[in-house]
Amino acid sequence: MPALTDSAIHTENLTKIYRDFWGRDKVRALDDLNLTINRGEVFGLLGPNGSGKSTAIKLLLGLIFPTKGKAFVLGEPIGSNEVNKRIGFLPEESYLYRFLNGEETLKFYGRLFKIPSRELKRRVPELLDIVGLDAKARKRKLREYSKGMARRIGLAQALINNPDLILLDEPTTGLDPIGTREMKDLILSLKKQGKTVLLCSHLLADVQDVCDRITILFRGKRMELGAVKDLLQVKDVTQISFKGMNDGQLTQVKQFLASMGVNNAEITHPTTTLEDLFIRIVRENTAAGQSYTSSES
Amino acid sequence: MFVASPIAALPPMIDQYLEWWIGGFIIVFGLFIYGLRDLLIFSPSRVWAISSVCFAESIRKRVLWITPLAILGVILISQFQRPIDEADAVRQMLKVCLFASGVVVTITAVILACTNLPKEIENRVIFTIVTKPITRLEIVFGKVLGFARVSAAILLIMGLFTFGYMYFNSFSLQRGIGQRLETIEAGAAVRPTLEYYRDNGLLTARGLASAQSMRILAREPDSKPGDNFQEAWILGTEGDVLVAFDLPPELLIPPGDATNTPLSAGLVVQVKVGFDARLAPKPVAAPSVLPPTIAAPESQPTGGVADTRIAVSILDQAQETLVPANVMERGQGTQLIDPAGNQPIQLFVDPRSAPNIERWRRVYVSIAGAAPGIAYRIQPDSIKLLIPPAAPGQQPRVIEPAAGMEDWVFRGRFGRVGFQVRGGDAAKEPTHVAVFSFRDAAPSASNTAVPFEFRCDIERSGVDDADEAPTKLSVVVRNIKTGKSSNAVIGDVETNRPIFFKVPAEFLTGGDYDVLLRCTTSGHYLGVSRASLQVVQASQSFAFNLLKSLFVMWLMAILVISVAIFSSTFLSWPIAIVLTLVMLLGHWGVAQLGDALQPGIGNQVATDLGFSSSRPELTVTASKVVDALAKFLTVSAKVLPDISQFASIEDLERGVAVPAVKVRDSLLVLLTFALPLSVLSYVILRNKEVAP
Repeated sequence: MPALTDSAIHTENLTKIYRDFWGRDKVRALDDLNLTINRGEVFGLLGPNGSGKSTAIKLLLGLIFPTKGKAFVLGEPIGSNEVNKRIGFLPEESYLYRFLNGEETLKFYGRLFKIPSRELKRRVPELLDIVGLDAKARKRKLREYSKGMARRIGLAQALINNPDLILLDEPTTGLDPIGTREMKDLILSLKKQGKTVLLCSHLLADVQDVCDRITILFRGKRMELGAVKDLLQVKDVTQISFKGMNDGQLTQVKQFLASMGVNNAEITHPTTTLEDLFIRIVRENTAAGQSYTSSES
Repeated sequence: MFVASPIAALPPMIDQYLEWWIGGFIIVFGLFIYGLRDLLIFSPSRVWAISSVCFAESIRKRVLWITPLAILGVILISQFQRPIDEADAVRQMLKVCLFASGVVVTITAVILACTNLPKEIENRVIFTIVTKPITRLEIVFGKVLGFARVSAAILLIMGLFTFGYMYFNSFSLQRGIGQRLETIEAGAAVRPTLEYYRDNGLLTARGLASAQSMRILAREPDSKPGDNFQEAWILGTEGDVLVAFDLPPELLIPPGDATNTPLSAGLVVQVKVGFDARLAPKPVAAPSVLPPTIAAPESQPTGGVADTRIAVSILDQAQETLVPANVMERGQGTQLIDPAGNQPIQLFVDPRSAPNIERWRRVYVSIAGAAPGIAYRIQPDSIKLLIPPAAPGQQPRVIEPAAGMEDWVFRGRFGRVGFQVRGGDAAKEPTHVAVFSFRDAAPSASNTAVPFEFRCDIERSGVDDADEAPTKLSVVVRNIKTGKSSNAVIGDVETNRPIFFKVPAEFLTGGDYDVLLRCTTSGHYLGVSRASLQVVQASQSFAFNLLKSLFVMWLMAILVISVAIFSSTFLSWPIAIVLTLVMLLGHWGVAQLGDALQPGIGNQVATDLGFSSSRPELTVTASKVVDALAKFLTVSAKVLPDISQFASIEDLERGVAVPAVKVRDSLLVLLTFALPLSVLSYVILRNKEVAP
């Protein structure tokens, strides 16, 4: 296990149980989560609805408090001011002040980081350019924004402090295909800058495209954890591929394969899609007739 | 009114300043211990950023649009007013303007502050705030500041309107006063008041000084200069004198008492009072139609012989009766024989009649004349207490009054408002003179004639045609140092309407002077208190006075905001609004219950409900429950803010300069309640999961 200072996020038996008015256990939303996310990687947090993804993110941000276990973000206890100075968070919907315009929104969040006015004057237009909000959009109130524009300004506020760790909850929701592409490019660009990205998404193709490693949560428990390419390998099937083959050779190869094989053939394991993997895990862990969401106590 | 401490077990120092102790504890624990880490990184710029968002939200949601509506309402209501004169018109207009300002700012503050936090949590905007490097302490203070800025904006708009509206209206009203003065004859009683308004304006605020004390006497006091007057006269059945005695327990132990039991041999009140019956009605006059509040002796005069009895009673520190006059008199004569007052009367107080006297460190002895129309003469040696010896051969211990005669309290009969000053011709009938003693109340040097403001209640006897006659007033100012008296100033007075009269400044030189005030109309009574007559020491611009009043209103708005934010940290907004109103009005509400919360109320309620006769055990239970409820309410009131401290409207409405002490008191209430509540809000919010 890497040292705390080496990891961007580190959790130990992180558990969250929601209780009712009388203090009785109601839902075990997260169950003994042990996870380490390395600095500089793009990490995907996957799971069906109610699997504990949002609970995990809320815990890491200090929005709710763990029932049990510990968590460290950038080597510091969660929720501390020192942590908050170095993280950016894009919630699943853009929960922003709808009466402010784009520029005012970024300036407001910038002030919370005590970014000097001169620096803000430079940084705000730059960020708005990065997320693709034009001059006209910047002056419009957020309540007039489309869903895609709201995601863009949400992302901009998450990046206002040039964070080391960015937590993105469903970042491509509401974006059109071009916007989705741009978002994925931006995530890869952040990775290139050495930043850590925790991505939580239902759009598995997006995760597959950008994530280095993923984990899949199910009913609050961690089911899978590893590099995307490793997890997607189908290890009990062999795939042989080669190129520049004509029909005659193909016939011969078929014959050869039937008898001995060829020297230049590339032999690999075929990969499945992340979607297939995701569905398989969910189905395997769901008993017949049961809901796949977190278990009620 | 003195209320017995509800938490008798607490030391007086804590009980008296309970809200300060609780507030201090919350601040020390919440801010300096629990929240020290957040306090150390407290950033005013982040607080300002949060407040700016709150302000922008309110502005962009058009909260300020409520002000034009309020202004429209004020203008509309003003059209329906029917003032009796120009000053009343200004007073009514100002009252509506300030009332509207107060209502608008309070309602806005409650709604904005109660709904803000629950809505931010509900729509999850709080997610993007608390995940930034900002502490919950900064969030709470930012929100309080933000809504305080909104309140300031509302008050600024309303204040500018009030100033313009009042200035415009007073201008035309003052022109009307000038025209009226041209038609009024020179000696008219209303003229000084109108001249005052013409010269000083209707809006100019007056810096007033009240008298240090007020005495209701039957005759004018000695005209010799100085405070140390040697005699005073009180009117039978219409006033008394209260003399304070300090009674440490060791003083109450009878000389020669081996058991050291206070008052074991009783107590003797020795009274030496003279009288003058020249103006007394003959035969004995019928009792006044006005309700007597001074207890009369049990026996009544039989007629024939002039009735010169006195009524002596003992009161506690709160001036509530400990030993009533009829108990004091029982079996002992109180008829005065010597008009010069050299013949003492001794009244023995059996310790069984007054078992609680030794509990009080200070008591008052009240001497009242029991016969109507008789003037009773009080002197410095008029009253003494004697502790009889326990053993023969010992001398009684003499206890002198706690203070000299200049500090004795000469009261009139209680009227509807204050004490009654009986009117009439002093040479022919018993009358009162109210002596207002001003000390260190020099007017500003520039004045050649100094204005006084007087307002009172008027009660009429209902006898003859006195009801129809105007109530006349005669005022003389006597300088203490020089002994010079001014000519009598005559004026007409009406119930609860201020009148003004001027006195040459030479009689006020040095700032120590007595104002002798009489009602010269027979059958009329003035209801006065110490604050009824005030000297106008200085004037202050309306704008500045309005600003002070709005500032006090703004402080109240901040208190409202703090309470509202506190409520909204753990309640949904509709319930938070209810709790906010309960917290703000709680102290006032309990104060309205008054005597209903006195100890012993439980027993009284149980008796009234008829439990005593039917089921005695139920009586005890009901009594305990009611007592516990009364105690709970009294204690609750002590820890809730007293919003009456923020009442500055009345001063402005009366044209009186809002005193600096009012601003200070408002600030103190704010400090005692708003700051601890904000710290509590922070503690709650820090432990609150803001994700729904």
